[in-house]
Amino acid sequence: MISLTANLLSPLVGQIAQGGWLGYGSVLFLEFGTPQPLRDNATHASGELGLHCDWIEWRIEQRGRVLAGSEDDRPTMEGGIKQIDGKTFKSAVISWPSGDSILTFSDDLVVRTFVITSEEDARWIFRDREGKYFHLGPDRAYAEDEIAAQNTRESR
Amino acid sequence: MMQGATDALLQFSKLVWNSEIWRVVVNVQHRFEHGYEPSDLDSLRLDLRQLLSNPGSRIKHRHVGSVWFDASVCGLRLERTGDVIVACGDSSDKVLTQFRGLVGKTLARVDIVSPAGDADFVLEDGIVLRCFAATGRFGESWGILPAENAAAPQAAS
Repeated sequence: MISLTANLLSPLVGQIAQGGWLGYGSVLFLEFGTPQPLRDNATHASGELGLHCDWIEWRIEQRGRVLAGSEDDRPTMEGGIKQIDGKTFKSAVISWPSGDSILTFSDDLVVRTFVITSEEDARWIFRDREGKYFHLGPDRAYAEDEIAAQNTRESR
Repeated sequence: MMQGATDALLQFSKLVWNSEIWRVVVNVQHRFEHGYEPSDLDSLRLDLRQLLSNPGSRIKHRHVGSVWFDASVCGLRLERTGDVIVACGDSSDKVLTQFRGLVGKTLARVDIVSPAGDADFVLEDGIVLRCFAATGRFGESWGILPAENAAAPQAAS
């Protein structure tokens, strides 16, 4: 089932992936648009837009071939992520209620994700051009500052 | 994995279709560090048997084989009619409790998708065990082990 959050990823449609990277463990960071200058102690340049997710397994496929998966060795994972560079983001489908997703790119490249928790919040985290973060799940989406505001309310 | 290999695996999997899960083996790995002590599902095995059709015999079942999952290279999730019952990244308590509940369930069929070999193990009562292969190394995420002597009957237990 296509969720509302697939539409919230619509700003990415037509964007070119550039500079995606592998974080701690197997956390996949996708970057889009022109890489920005490195800020503070950052080790990777951010794109104009970004997308990452924790608590998932992922796999990169192209034309019926698996390029890399989140449990492959690090060089294989990094090689797979490198293949996303230069590809144009075409669409996103996030299944409900699982939160599994399928991201499609040009050149028949596909990123599939599989949520491995029912106890944690496994949402895509989308960073917009202003550097604001949005949590995108199959049921709803919300801005990161909403979480901070909620935490403040709960701590009073 | 090419479509031909998927079809071959699907054909092979029919060995364990319509079998009862008589034992579930769950391995949880505990890791201890200073200030960090995670526990994760490491592997899962479903041992399967079929009822023999000789009502008068002391021997009621035959062991047909096992399905194993290496949770270090795949994602696993147990669902009922689309709702998640438990996932491999959940707490050990939840993993143990929910997988224990598979004992006695019947595996109706296995659906396999290429190219990675993702598989849905469809059980009775709308329960599905989903396996997502998180590696390009085919055959490492899950597999079927036929019983050493599948024809040998198993005493009722």
